Amino acid sequence: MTSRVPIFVCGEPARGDDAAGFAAVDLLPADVRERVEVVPVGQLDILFLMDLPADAPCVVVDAVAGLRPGEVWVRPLAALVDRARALQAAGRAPEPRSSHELPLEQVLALAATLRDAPPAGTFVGIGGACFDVGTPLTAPVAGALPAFAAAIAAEVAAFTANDALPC
Amino acid sequence: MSHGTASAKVVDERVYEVHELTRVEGEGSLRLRVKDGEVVEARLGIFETPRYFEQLVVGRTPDEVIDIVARICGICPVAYQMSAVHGFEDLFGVRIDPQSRALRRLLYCGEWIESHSLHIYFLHAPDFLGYESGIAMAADHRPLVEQALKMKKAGNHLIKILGGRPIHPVSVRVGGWSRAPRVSELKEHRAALEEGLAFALETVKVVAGFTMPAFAREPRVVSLRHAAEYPFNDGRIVSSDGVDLPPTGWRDAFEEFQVEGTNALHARSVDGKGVYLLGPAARVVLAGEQLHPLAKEALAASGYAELIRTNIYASIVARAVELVHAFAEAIDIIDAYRVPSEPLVAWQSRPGVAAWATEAPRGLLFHRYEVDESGRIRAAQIVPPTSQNQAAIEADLVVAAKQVLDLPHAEATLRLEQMIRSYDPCISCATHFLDLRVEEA
Repeated sequence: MTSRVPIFVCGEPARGDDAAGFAAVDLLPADVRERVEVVPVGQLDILFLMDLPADAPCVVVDAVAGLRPGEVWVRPLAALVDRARALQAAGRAPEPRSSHELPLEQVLALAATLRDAPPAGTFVGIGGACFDVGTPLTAPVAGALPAFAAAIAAEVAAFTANDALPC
Repeated sequence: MSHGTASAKVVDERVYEVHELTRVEGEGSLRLRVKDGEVVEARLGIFETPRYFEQLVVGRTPDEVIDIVARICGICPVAYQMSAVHGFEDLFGVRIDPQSRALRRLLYCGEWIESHSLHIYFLHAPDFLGYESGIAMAADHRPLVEQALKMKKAGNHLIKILGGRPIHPVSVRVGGWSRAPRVSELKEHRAALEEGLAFALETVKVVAGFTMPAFAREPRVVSLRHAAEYPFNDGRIVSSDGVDLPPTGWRDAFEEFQVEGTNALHARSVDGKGVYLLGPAARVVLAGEQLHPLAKEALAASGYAELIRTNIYASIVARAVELVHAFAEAIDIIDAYRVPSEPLVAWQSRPGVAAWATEAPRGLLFHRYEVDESGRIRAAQIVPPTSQNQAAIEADLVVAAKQVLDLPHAEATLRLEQMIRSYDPCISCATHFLDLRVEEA
């Protein structure tokens, strides 16, 4: 028996392209879904990462501002930790999007500090164009959802390549 | 820099201007002007767009209101639910099952645990330990940060058991609960609470070991006080100078008013007695005799029982003592818990005024709703603790400013930030509170 790979889905389903992660996991094929645990988190909380067993991989999914709308972006979580630490060292912490949350990179960096190593796993993002409340996905993002879902599925497949199906 | 005048009189004027306050209930600014050593202006401006919750609930039913007002705050949603639900039940004459009442105290314990542990370790302790943030502190004080996260998780999980989710719970209803937890659900969480209690006791020792900046004033303090329990959701509104009102009676002694340059209403005494302080320090001063024995013992051992009243920086100790109380009472409630025979009592709406005050983590939270004949809200007033504390923050800035004028800029900045953080202005995980700029004319 193996444990399922957690997919932490960040975003807000009611805010335009911020819903992309939720829409993408809905497109995951059945054989992938049975290997994952979809965890809608809104924003990534340090407690989710602290609960992960050491070396247990996870996938973090979110829409991203600053990329071309619809562009799929995949990075190891460790790379985001390195980026946060580099910015911190340069005196430029990642900018919070609001005063009520910690930027994702800082959450990952804190987890890396407390766990002695960056969380294992991958960030899969998609460039968004509009995050206004009550708006639907924009056309470029909606059109790229299959590619977004495929990228998520590829990461899950890589993490579970040698696993038997979970009981 | 000082400059001379024609008469050779030297004027020393310093302007401390803070453009973006975070970790308050909204976004704000601060302007502090000191002339010849005297503070001539201390102003806290809240410039975040008004959120209109008092209008959002108009036309809604009481149960809808309970879920809507929870959205005011991600850290203290329970407080908003409690003030609302108790007000409605008081108006409608609803008497809930005693176990339902105990569960509401348990829910409040969960909120105080997650809120206080967050503030103590991530928002305030870095000031005392010389770090720019909790994240930076984690590298050198990993056990402290880990225990803070465990405590916060224990509080959030308690809210999840009772309210269906760790933030913005959804099970509180007029008449009780939409779902009461099984005994086993609560018992399963007991070990985490026991561990948290041990951490909380350690926390009191840790924060009592911090060096407190000098600060002394005699504040007027206000909180709920109850004859038999530490105040969460019941008791009388009392003050250090004789106010003694039912939890419905806030408007008999206090009022809100608009201050130019801020989108948050201030509050003051109707009798002109001036500013007042809410929150953990006020509660410990006014209701300390009802603390859980373990919390009372921890407070006595800390040596801070008196300093909590006069030194705002010492509020971190009061918060830690309340953390002990919340863990200890949560365990007691779970040990005595049985499923309510009637989790949701039937009730009938009636027109009138529903009003109540409860104790949010940051202090007294008052709600008032006018309910019409159809059982819907005609008007609402919500008075959060942070807005009530604004005037006290400004008054304390005057005191603090005089003590930092001779300090180097960076140290003065940190000291003023630290003072404001002592109030735990609602919410935020940001590292920097103030962007303080000193201009010397």
